[in-house]
Amino acid sequence: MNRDRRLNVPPSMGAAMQRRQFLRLGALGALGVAGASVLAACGSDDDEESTSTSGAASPTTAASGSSAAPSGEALKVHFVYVGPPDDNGWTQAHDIARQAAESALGGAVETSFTPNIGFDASTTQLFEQLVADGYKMIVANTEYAGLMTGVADANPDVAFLECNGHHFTSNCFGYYMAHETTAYLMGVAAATLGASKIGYIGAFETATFFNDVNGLLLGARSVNPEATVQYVNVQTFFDPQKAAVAADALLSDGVDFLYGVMDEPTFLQKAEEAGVWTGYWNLDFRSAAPTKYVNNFDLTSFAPFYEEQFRALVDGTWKAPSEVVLLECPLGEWGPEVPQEVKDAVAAAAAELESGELSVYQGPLNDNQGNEVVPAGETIDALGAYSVGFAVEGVTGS
Amino acid sequence: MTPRLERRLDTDLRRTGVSRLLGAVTGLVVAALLLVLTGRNPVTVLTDSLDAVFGSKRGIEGVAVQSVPILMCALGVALSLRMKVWNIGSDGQFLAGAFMACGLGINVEAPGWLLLVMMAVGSIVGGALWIVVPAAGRAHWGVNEIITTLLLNFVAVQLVVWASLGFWRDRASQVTQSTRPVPVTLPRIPGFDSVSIGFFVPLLLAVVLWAVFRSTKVGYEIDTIGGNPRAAAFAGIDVPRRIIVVMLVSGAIAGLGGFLQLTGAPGAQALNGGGFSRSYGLSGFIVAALAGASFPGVIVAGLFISAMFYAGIALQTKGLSVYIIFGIYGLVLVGVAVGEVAARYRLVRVVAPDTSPSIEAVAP
Amino acid sequence: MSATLRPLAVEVRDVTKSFGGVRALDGVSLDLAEGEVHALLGENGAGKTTLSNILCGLYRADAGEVIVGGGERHFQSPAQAIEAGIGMVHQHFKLVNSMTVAENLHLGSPDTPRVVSARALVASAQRMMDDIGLVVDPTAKVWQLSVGEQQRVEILRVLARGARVLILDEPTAVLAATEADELFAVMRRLVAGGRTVVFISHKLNEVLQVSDRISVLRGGRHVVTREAAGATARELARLMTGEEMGIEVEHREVTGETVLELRGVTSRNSRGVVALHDVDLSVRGGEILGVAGVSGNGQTELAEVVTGLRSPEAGTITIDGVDVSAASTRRIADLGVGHIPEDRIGVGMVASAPVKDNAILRHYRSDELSSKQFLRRDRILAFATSIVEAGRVQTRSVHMPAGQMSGGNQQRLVARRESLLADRLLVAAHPTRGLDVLAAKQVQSAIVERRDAGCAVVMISDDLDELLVVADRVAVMYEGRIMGVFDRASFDREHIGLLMGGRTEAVAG
Repeated sequence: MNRDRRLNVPPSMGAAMQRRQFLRLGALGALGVAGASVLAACGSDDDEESTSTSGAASPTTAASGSSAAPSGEALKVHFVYVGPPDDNGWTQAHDIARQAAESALGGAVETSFTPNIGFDASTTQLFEQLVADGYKMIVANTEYAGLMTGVADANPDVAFLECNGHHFTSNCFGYYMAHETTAYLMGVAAATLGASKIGYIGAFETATFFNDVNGLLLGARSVNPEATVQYVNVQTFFDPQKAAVAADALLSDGVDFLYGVMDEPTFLQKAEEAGVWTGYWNLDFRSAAPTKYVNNFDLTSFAPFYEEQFRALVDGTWKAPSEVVLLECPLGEWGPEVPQEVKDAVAAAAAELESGELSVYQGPLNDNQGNEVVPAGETIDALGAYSVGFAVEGVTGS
Repeated sequence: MTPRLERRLDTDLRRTGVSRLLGAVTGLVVAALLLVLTGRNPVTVLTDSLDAVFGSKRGIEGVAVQSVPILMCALGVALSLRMKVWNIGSDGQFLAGAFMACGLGINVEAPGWLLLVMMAVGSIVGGALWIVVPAAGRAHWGVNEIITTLLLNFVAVQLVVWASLGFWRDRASQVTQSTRPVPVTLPRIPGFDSVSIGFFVPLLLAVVLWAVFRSTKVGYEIDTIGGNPRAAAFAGIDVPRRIIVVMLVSGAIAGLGGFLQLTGAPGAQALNGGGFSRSYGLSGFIVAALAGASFPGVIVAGLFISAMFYAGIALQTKGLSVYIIFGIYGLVLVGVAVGEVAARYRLVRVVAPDTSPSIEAVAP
Repeated sequence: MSATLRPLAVEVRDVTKSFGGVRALDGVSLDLAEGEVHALLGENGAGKTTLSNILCGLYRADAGEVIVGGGERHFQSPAQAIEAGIGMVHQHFKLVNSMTVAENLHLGSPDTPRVVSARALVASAQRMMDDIGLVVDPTAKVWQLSVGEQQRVEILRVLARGARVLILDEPTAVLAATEADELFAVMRRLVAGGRTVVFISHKLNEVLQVSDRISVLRGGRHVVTREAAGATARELARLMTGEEMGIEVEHREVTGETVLELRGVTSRNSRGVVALHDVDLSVRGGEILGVAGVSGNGQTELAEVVTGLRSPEAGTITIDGVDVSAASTRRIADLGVGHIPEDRIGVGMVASAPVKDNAILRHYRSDELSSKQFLRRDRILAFATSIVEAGRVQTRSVHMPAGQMSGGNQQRLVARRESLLADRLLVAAHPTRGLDVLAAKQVQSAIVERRDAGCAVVMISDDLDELLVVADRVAVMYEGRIMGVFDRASFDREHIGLLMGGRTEAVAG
């Protein structure tokens, strides 16, 4: 079921890798700086955040009271996070949504989470542990694929939700967001601001990446047919140094708009210094580029989605959809210096996309190898875009 | 009387064992104090850990599953360590082995058992190939193997990322970053839900290696090279050749570990980015070092660390931060390492002067 | 002038030291005066090295006092000892092999500036050497030096740190006669300047030649301290061992077949310099060929080419008629060739491995000790025990790491092991170096025994006296050449000594 188009977010697998390397260092450091590491953990609130049950939810829980009072014990839901819940990005968006949804259920559901989970076999053991611990619903905020789906198949009475997942059974489904439309609107904004050469800092060549660069280019070309997108993939979602190098390279190549899927704002600062318009992807980060900030993707639609899932679980009506659920992902707040005409142009494009008279992938389209990928008169819908595997003509990079 | 440390001239296995145990306990006590400081109950943490591991059959199985890749890497490292060769690259060799096994598994049509054999052989070849250059460099040109083996780890991670995102990506199922799962797995040990017969491989291998070093010429020659390569050459041992062979076998063992993981560990039947190895090479290295390159010691230390890792999973779901868990592990390992060193010293009391005359003279 | 009238540099009072329940020193008291060469004489294990190690801060005494400059001192480290002016030159050098002589001389010295050019280091090293009168190429890397040269660097290094009391542990063990004479001159010059030299040795003639006073230790106890003047070697030997010294060797006409033959052998050393020039030698079964020479004149390389550790660049080497010029160490050993290497710890042994593993180092492939790929562990134990017993190796257990035995016992182990291997040829490089009178006598007897069993022996030594007693013929080496070969009838100490110094013209004249 295609709930909606809208934008989307990279699948965080690379972020996972990055963090895994950090954990790896942790294991190494375990020998050398064991004491320091524990002390550091004591000093920070890492241990606190990692516990988080209903107690961590906001004090508005009681006041919200919108849901029916729980009958008997609260149902236990567990979130498995690929990153830390304060990552200024992907996992934080999920964690905010988790807490909001729990509050909305007014105590009928009790949630908890485990952060920083990587992609080795012990992740399977973690899911098994969670099933044994009695969780009725398990939510993974990235695609663990075989590491999770085997456990899901073996436990049909437990609900499994896999963000960006591709496994659909009676108790397991994938959900995500339509990335290409948000990127399209960002491209419209960029071109309306006068950009003709858009720079993009990516991580890995996945469907998300293709939707990002394609949306940017097609949106920009709807304003300026000569616009191009130049990208650099840095094989990570979090590495300020690599992001800085990529930003410098793109800026020195003369890009006049800089966008990226990094989980930290280094490239925003670089763009601000260079006087180039820039946009972020999953969080409002206007502070990093006070004068050149354009907009960001708005990931707040997770909360109503989780709330809906929890409610179905409590009511006993929960059922796994048979195809990917794609969530809304509009643009967020505009930067202070963005002219009204840009906002108007984007609003117009958004309305056209909403009404269906405009499609991001509108044939004829060639990929950047020169092959026709969408014949004239045809389009790719959001579901098709979920598995797109090409970059359109006008996108270059490495 | 001033106490001071003096190096012992002899070594005693029992004393070393007791000393290590005391070190581990000391590490746990320090960790407990730190837990108290963070407002947690160390007794609960300990009982939760013990419960996670020994509280159910699933716990025991979980430790066994965890231990296979760690033990395989540790055995490979320990073997080369007997020769004073530091193979820091078993993570890369493990991944290279898994890479070869996966490539054969998803691309070759063959009856199940034959495919398994081919994959196992492939992983052995892959692990050995991944150490060929460091081995030749070390044996013939004295190139430091620590650096070469370490660097190849990063290359292996990139190779696996490339495979799972690119040429072997599972496009049919649309999974973002994973190869197709291999179509064959090792049979489970009868009566167990998650432990494959691959669990026996490191145990058998440890026995074989122990026997080789106890009773064969080859083992004696390797130990001799480790002790003094010039004396080994004097004894007529072809040192460069032995170095190459031992390093290749060391890599092959880690590579076979990659096969065992791919076909034995539940959920791990596909390569998925660089996440396939949870730094098994590093864990293996710590295990081999803790065990002092003794093969039975590798099994003991490896199972110990695997149990700690497995308990860590349960602790994490109970809300203990992964950093605290690693901190506790670190303290225990440091304790063991200190105990190991401490066993080589003893405290002696020496008659010392009360005060030196000159100080007495100027004292007010 | 009587040494006892001089001011005292160091007083040792009732010093006791035990290792694992064994008393290495038992209430030893003695005085070291300023401006004297004070010999410490004793067998291996008498406690000389333990006492020196206490003096130089490596060990701490269990009981007793060390008084330096009037105050009691308890050195925690060699650094503190050197600060108090006591420095030691050990039998096993503590040099960094990959560094140059000049760098080694400045290493760890508080006087060395943090930033300094290589040229300044060399110049400063050269000044030090000129002051002290011991010269080594300051730009050479230590690994390139002969053992004798390395020792000079070690002595220089200690003196450069301002040592007033210099302890030399068996310094002449690694030196040839002429080098030893140079060292003695240096020692005399140092004491003339008011320093104290503690000279540890068991070469009685040297001790008598250079010392002012002599202290004898036996079994960890102080036996006597006396003026060197008027003492005799025989008397000192009795004090040391309670036995008469010296080995008697019977020399008969050699009738055996030629075993080892070198024809025009040329070889380079590790530095790439030609170390053997066109060497011709032959040794027959039942004959000991002594090789005399100052250390560093090609003897090491000679032993190495014969035993397969080094390949000759030109020429042929045959053993029992078999050409072994390009043969491996293993093949040569299989022909029945034993080799007591010069550097017994670096080459001949695995110090970290048990005595038993060292005992089989060159024998483990034999049918007796292994079958196919497997070692015969019970036989190995018996074999090792027999080597230890027959070689009079003193060790607590064959399972103990060989490196924990004293140097003398290590030497005995290697000597016995190689003798067993030597059915046809034994190459013994400095086999008695560092051994006391009694132990040296045992090793010499063992070598003579091999000869009497029909084995050919090449015995390299820088102790000419030893060669003149033991060898059937003596070849003299100088700068990689054979200067001459003498049979017993033509043994002439002075003549050979001159050849060792390269002085052929004096002979001609």
